[in-house]
Amino acid sequence: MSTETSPRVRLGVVAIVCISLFAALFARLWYLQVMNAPAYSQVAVNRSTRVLTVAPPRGRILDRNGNVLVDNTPTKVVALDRQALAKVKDADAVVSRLAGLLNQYQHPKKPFTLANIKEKLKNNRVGPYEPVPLAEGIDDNLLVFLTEHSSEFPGVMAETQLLRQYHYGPLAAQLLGYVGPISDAQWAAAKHSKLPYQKDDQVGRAGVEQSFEKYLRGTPGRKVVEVDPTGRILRTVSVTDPVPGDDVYLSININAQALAEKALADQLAAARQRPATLGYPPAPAGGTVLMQPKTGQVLALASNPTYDPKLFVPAISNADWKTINDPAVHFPGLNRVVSQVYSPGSTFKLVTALAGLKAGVITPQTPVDDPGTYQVIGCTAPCVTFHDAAGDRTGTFALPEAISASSDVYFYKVGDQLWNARSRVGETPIQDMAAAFGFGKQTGIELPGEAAGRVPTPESEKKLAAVIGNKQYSGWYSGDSVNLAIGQGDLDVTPLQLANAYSQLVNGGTRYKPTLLYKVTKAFEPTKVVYKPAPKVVGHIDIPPAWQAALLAGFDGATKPGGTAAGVFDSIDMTKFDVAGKTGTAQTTQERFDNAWFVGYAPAQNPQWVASTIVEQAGFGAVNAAPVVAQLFQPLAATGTFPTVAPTIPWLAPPTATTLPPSSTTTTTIPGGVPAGSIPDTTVFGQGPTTTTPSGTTGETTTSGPNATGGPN
Amino acid sequence: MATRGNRRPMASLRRDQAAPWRHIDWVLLGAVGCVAVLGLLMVFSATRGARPPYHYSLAAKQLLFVVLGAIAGGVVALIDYHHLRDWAVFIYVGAMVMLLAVLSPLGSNIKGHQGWFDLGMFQLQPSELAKVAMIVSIGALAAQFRGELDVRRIIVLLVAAGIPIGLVLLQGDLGTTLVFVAIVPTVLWVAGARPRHLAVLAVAGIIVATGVLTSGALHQYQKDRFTVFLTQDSNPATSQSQKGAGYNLDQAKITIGHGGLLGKGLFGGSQTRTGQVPEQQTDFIFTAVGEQFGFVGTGMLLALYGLIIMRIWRTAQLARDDFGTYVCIGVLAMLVFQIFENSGMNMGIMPIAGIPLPFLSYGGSSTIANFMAIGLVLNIGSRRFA
Repeated sequence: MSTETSPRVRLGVVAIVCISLFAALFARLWYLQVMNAPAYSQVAVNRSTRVLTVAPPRGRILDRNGNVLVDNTPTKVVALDRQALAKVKDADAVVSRLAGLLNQYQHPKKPFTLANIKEKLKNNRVGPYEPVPLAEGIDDNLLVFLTEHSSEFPGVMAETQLLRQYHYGPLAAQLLGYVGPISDAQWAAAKHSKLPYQKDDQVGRAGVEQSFEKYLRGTPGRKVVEVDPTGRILRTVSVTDPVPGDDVYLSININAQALAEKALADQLAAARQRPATLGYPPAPAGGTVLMQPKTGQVLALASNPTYDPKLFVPAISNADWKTINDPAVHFPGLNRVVSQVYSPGSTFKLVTALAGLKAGVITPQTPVDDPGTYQVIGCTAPCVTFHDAAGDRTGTFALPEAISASSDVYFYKVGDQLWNARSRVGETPIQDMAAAFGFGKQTGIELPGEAAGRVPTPESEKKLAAVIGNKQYSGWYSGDSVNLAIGQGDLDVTPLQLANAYSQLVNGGTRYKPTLLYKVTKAFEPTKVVYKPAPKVVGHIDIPPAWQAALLAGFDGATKPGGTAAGVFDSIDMTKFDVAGKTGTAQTTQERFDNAWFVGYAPAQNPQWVASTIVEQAGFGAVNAAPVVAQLFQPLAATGTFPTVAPTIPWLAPPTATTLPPSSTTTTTIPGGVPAGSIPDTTVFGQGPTTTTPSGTTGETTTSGPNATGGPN
Repeated sequence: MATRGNRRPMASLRRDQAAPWRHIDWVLLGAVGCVAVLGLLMVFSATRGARPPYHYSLAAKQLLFVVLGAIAGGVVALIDYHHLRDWAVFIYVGAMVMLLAVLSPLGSNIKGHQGWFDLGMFQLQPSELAKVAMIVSIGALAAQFRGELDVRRIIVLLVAAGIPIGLVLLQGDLGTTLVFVAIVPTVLWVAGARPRHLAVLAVAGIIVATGVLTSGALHQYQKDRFTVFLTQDSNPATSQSQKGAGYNLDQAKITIGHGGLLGKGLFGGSQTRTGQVPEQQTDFIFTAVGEQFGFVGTGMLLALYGLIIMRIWRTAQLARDDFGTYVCIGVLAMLVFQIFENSGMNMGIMPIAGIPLPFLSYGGSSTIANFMAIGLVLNIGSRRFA
């Protein structure tokens, strides 16, 4: 044995080395499992688990009486599981076989090929664990075949997918909107929210589908799965079921909606009987809205031309999308009630009158002589002569009569006097009154793309002149006030703004936010109310009762003998109540017919409903717009309720280029041969087999439907 | 002697205080048994799959290996180790023949090592058995020198050890080679080599290691494992050239870290269950313990290993002769190196090398060889008075 070191010491050294090594192991273990455990655990969870989302069924959309307007319908979808397919040796052969079957059974417009299916499989909007849908609405025979031969089609699966179903066909199309694939911008915006979207999610892209997305969407389910390092799913760790979207009850009364759409379509058809002027056919489009003046709730909102929202299910074709946005067929996708602006014409006299009364340039009793023409105060030659609309009654009018007869001269004078009194009342008394009635800004209705309209002021005209480089007319002249007084010039309003302004007048001066929302409830549980909005006041002005009475008397007179709309309303059965209103005929461009307006309310003595209607380029409001409102109020006036409609409206075919003017103006057939513009027969709205028969036959009388007792509200 | 009446034959034994069966190290045996049982559970947990039907085949095979190992260890323990000393030459030559044969077409190449005999049911890895053979052989040779290790005798010992080391290196099995390399200086040190000789040996070793690393004799993956360990780089983007090793090390650390203090419970570890760690039932079995039993359980495993090492060290100290001491120290060096290297590489403090964790990793040859090594220690310990 070595003399240098004893064996005992040598073994001791070995022991020390061993102890050191084990100490190092313990230290490292402590570092990994105690000090850094949270960080490593997080990574471990990320690596070995994946979270899959399960899309919730979208909420239903109903009308205020619980009639289902939109819900979901299951459809069979053939989809390919990329994970499973990746494990198949002859994946190309499987895909080719599937392409052949799909072509054979589904008759797609564009045949499936191995190449285009492979292209679809690259779809990065679909998560790596989700099957990629190839075709919807799968034929039952194909499903049976695929089930029986499932071993030959590894990775091919039939899934049930929920599609939107529109129970009332094209009714309320622009209002309801549609769902579509989420846009990248929407996806990014919700990326960090509590409920982020998947890239292949469907969301509301227009109408109330978009504005009530937060109620309709529901809560996606979560499925946590464990995956191996190649991403293969090994097992399910936990499942959280999706929560269906809430049911959204719109303030819409579907019976009123149907009536409004029919009245509008009828009137457009009638107006189109007239020959075109200078190549511009009459009445290409129109819109009408019915609302409650004391709540702001919208009962009907119709825009024509329209389209069938079914085109968007499951996805709209390029050709159909083009049609919906085609100027040649007047933009069927456009909601003319909220997104389009027009000069209001004489319907604006409401504002002028109140501005005049407020400034004291008139009283309700002040008589004004209307010889048919007007020249501005203090005008030296050459002077512009302002005319009454052709055929208007002339005479000496106080305010109510001036409204009933729509005396332009009366209001020319009010506008002129207000401008002359500007040192006392300011430069913008009419504009101020317009603003008090909500003109010039969005009403706030729950619809995307609402237009604000425009109320011209000396200020804005100066800016406009500078922008367009007009040095000649760079200010505000008497003539501008005169024009504004009768709702012409650069004044632009939406039909909804107009209806809301009249609502404000008839309810005594309170302006409500127009709303489409009646209530939100849990899915299929009408009593479990999630949200029920109260009427929201957005403005108020005090209207002295004498002024209001004078104006209401004027509107009441308009539908009575001597009034502008008497011709339409004298034939209506007004057993229950009178209808009052105001016509408007707004000039467009020289070549085209004027835009026809009518704003009406009923009952005249205690208004519960206000309706406004525009019929574009149709001519006089009394002839071309008033009938729409008359038709809308007629059943109410006669029976106190709207006729019930069944969820199929054969007479409202979705537009195509050929059913719209100018080529054909008579395809909108009216069962029973009811003359357009006259009082509708309730049989028209009944669901009977003969109602689909073209004109000339009599519709079967029936009031059966989902809501035969549907009330007016 | 306490009983009256007929004396049974056992009575004489019972009186023999030096009889080997009276001095069996039950603590060592128990500790090894515990680790082996844990190993069966861990192999099962790492190979059964994520969901039913579970796979039992590897765990069942490992059970067979443990049984075979226990029998082999028992046989080794029963033969008086002094006979082994006498047979050392034959043991040595036999091992060399096996190591040579495996390089011939008789052997097969698995995972890049020409180091296996394919016996159908399982593959025999002679280098594992050769480790035990070498421990006996150089223990015997060193004991021959009676602690007088001059330069000449050291060289003789180094040559004797160098031949099997060279043959194993020729197989391409760097890990097992390193185990051999770890055994030799430890035995030399305990056998009385002078520190300065060992220092020279250490310097020479470093020079050779550097030369090997830079010469291109190693495969790229072997170098990668080493550089990954140095950089601890787990970023797949930057560790492209180290993909295998970097990924493996990364997954191993995450899996151990996932266990935390108390672990996720048996079969409760998602990383283990979903097979996130490659080679988890063999070289990375430590991660299965780490994830499922946490710091507490893994610490207990290390403590069991520590206990085993302590008992071997104690046996080395108490051995009746130098040969016994040297063999025990050889076994100790072999096990300590394997435990430290394997769990160290699992935790990222040692470079990755293909070395199994004793009694825990799946594998027939290593399990049997380790049991035989323990058999040697029990043999020496139980005959310390014989």
